[in-house]
Amino acid sequence: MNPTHRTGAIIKDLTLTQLSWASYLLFGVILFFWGVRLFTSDPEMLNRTFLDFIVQPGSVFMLILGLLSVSGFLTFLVKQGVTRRTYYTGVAVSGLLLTLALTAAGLLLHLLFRTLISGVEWLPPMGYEGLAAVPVIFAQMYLFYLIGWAIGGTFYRFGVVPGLLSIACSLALLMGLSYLIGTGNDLPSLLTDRLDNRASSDRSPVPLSISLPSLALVAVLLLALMRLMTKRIRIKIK
Amino acid sequence: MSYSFDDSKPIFLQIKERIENQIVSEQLKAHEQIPSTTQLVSFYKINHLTVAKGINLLADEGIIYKKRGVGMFVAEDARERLLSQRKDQFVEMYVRPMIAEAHNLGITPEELARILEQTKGSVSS
Amino acid sequence: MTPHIRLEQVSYRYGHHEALRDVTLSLPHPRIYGLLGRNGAGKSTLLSLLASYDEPDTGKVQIDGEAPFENARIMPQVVFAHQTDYSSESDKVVELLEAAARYRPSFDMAYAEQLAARFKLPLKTRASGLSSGKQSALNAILALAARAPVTILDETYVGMDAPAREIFYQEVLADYERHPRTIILSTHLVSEMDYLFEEVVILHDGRVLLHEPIDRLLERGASITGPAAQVEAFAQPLRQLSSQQLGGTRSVMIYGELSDEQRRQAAALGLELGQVSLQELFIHLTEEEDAR
Repeated sequence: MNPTHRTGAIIKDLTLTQLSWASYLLFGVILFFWGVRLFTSDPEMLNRTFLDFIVQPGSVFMLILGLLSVSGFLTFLVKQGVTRRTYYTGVAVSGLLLTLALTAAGLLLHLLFRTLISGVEWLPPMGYEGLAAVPVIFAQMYLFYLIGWAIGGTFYRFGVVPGLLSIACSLALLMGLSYLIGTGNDLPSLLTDRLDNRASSDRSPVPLSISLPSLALVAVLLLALMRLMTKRIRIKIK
Repeated sequence: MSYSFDDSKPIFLQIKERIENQIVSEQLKAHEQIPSTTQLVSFYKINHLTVAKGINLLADEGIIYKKRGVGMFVAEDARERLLSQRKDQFVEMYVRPMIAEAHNLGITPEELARILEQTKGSVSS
Repeated sequence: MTPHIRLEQVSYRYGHHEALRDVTLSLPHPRIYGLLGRNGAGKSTLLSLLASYDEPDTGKVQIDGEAPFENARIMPQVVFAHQTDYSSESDKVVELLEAAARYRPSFDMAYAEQLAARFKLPLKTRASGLSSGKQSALNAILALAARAPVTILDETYVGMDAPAREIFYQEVLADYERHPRTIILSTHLVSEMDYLFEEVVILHDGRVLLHEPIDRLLERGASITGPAAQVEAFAQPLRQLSSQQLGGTRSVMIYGELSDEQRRQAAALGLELGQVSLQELFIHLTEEEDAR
């Protein structure tokens, strides 16, 4: 099997594996969304769109996936005779495809539920008008994936102390990013806050023309970092 | 460590002898395939090179022949050769010493012949 | 076509520990190699370099003329089985086999299933739920069924009971006969596995102590037993590895070729010459090296 053909096969393999886990996530979020609708009478909650429900768990999910990409996939693939380069491309691209799939699914369900449920004054998802939230959600989830990957890689390659440092750096990064994106999207607070705390907009979010390119830049930097980190990384026995 | 081989002579010779014994006793017949080197290694737990040495000796002496890609087989006249080899050795290894010892003990040729007759009967064939 | 494995002046260290020092080795033919060494001798490190787990600090590692590290052509031709932590592995045995089949071009699934049956390895169990012996069996199966031109089995028998190890040895030999390739067996269990090796490499303290075909190596070992004075006199000019005395009888293990003349002399002196096992040679040669 020539290398390019193989890379494609590996991307497909990784994507399908991760997609199957993502389906569990989606299922969970759908349940949660409807559960909330059935058991709350709090208007703040009932007016939130499905998109709001998926950002937080989706981002955390992608973070964890990214974390597992090193200890899980790297060792496995090199053991099977796959180069680190192919591993890198596989993880980077499959993550992207996965994020795409999740975002698309989220969007579809959002539109579906919005049509099904009548008589609700929906709050702008994440504070954005129309569907502007969608690219931000996409960018955010992929970034969480890359950050998780970076943290996992640091632990694997450099050990516990640098690993903890990388977590600290990631939090700093996330805070910086949330400032970029604007209120309601406090990235670190996404990990801790409840849905109803967010996006009672004090200010409207930063326009997409600024936030998206910035997020893209950060993603590119993280991708470059990961290539450097994994290019000649030592695989551990045991 | 392998069982049933001793220190008395090189192992490759012992392997050779074992196969020869099987040919003489007709356990292995002419043109029958003998086990492969690897099978012998696995069965006797003797390393490849030692086994190969023994096998090659057998091939050199014409007791077995190799068919490329298939394996090794007992030669047509292997048994005859071995029997005649052993008959030759028989005199040296058994008969001469017996005669010498009989002489030492003062046993006459007639007594010796009688002893042979009697003993032959009690040895199972 | 079996790739020629070559190491040239390879050195490698973990932090402050020099695991390999100036290792030069050439393993050209399809052959079963025994890689012997005490704990910490550097066996696993050497093997992991062949499997591209890392690159040497200095020197060259080459398989089939190229460095295997990050080499998309060479890496799939090497399979490295070693002790693996399956504690977080939620996949079932059969799923792991199928994954290997997807990635390894010459993986033989039918053979893998046969082996699983022989080892009584349950296909539907999660890898994390297997006993250590069964996990080793799994590693062995993944490596053997891959039919890679360079197959490395690093103490793959850990946790296996004696009957399972027997099966393992039989299967290594049987599949080697069906599909000749380079098989490197790294082990401590020298006395049990010695007959499997065609060539022996002994690693000691990160260096190559020797690399010989096994029959030549064994020919060089001899034990000389007899009355103490005669044994001492006879063995005095020879390279002695160890000696034992019981009452008036002395037994000395020597390393070196004995000429026919020397053998006749020994017989004349009433000394018994015996063979030395690979394990004994291994123990005493490495001890001798330590004493230097």
